[in-house]
Amino acid sequence: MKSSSPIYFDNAATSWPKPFGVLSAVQNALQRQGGNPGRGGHLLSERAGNLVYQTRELIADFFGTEPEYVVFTQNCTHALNLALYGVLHKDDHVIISDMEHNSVARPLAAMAARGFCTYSVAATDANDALTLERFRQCITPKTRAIVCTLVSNVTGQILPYREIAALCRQYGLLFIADGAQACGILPVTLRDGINILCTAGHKGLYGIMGTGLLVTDGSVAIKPLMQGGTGSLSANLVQPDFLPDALEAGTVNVPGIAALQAGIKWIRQYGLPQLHQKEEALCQRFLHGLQKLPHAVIDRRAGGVYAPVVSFAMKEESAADTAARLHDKGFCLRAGLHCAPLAHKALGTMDGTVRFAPSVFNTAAQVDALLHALRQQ
Amino acid sequence: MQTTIRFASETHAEKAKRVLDRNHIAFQSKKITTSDGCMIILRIAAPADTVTMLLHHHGIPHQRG
Repeated sequence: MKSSSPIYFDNAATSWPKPFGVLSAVQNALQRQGGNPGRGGHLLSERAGNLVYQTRELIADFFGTEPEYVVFTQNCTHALNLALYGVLHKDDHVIISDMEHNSVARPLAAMAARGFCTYSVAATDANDALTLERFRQCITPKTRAIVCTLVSNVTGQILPYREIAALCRQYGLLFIADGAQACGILPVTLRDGINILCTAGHKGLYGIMGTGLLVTDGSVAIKPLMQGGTGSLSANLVQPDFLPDALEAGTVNVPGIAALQAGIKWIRQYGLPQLHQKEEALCQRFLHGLQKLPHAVIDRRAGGVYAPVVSFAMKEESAADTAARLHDKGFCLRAGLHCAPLAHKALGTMDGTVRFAPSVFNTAAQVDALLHALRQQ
Repeated sequence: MQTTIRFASETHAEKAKRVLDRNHIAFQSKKITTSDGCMIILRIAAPADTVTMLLHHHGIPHQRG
């Protein structure tokens, strides 16, 4: 790649660049709020504690819950594992979609392999009614939960999550949602009927890597994955059973939490609908140009509803080679299975795809440059 | 008139502080170590029944004294 600044279209992996306020929030946290929150009674611990609580409040307001139901995790995968291992009982049955990321599929596969629980995979379709019916057909008397992504990280398809939530309510099931690709783009809230929402701090929420969230409506007890110091009831060898302490053993990522606060404030200032509109416009520009390339294959089901993510491939060139060729020209895109083999199996793209995932910091000129580079196959 | 409330969780204590602030109730905060471990004490300038009503209303676990 040339030494000049790369053109980054891999925001589904992590968003880049970050708003300037995020960088300064991290620096400020390290320089002025460097104590361990909830531990000492001194100034630096108190400052860190205030920062952490303010961020919980902001996130609680953003997603429609109470501050104590906001749990900071290392990433979305950690949050999903916490949710799955924390709520499922022996012999429970779970339904997932065929668009799931390995952060849902792998823990469930591991639990099923050792006979702890079982799961079914509901085939999604561009037709939401059909998707919903397929989820319904998977329900058994032992079904405890539906766990599914709100937006596919491969195709960008938005699943009919409000209808899935209604289905869960109808059958008394938990709804655990993977919001990694949806949060910061769609107006997701727990009021949509989600019991546990897991998401990344470093993608659409514009925080930094090393942060994730488990946000709950408090309706279901979640057993901890880890026990350890919480700064509360320290004389007791039993982990506290109240949130968020029960699920936050150890020191939280204070600079990461500061970044998350700054990222969400920036989203609110910019406006979520405006953010979505800009990214969608870039995505449509890309799709329009891609459709004119005779050797491009766009991996999207016609008629579906999509967030601004596109998977594609070039005929007679592997996804890896396309991404490498684009990289030589200064473009950062991811190629492969995107840690979502179920999705590729469903789409018939097990050879992998190249993924276009813009952010609000990309420009129309950059999209045009990418299309120009693709034309030069 | 003063009411003393204890919180095992800093998150619960912070939530309580904000509730008291919104209701214009003055308080002092201190961290102490007890036989249960670290606790946050709020000394609140309001009657006990007002304080407990507010904390119950907002679902904030707490202990008196």
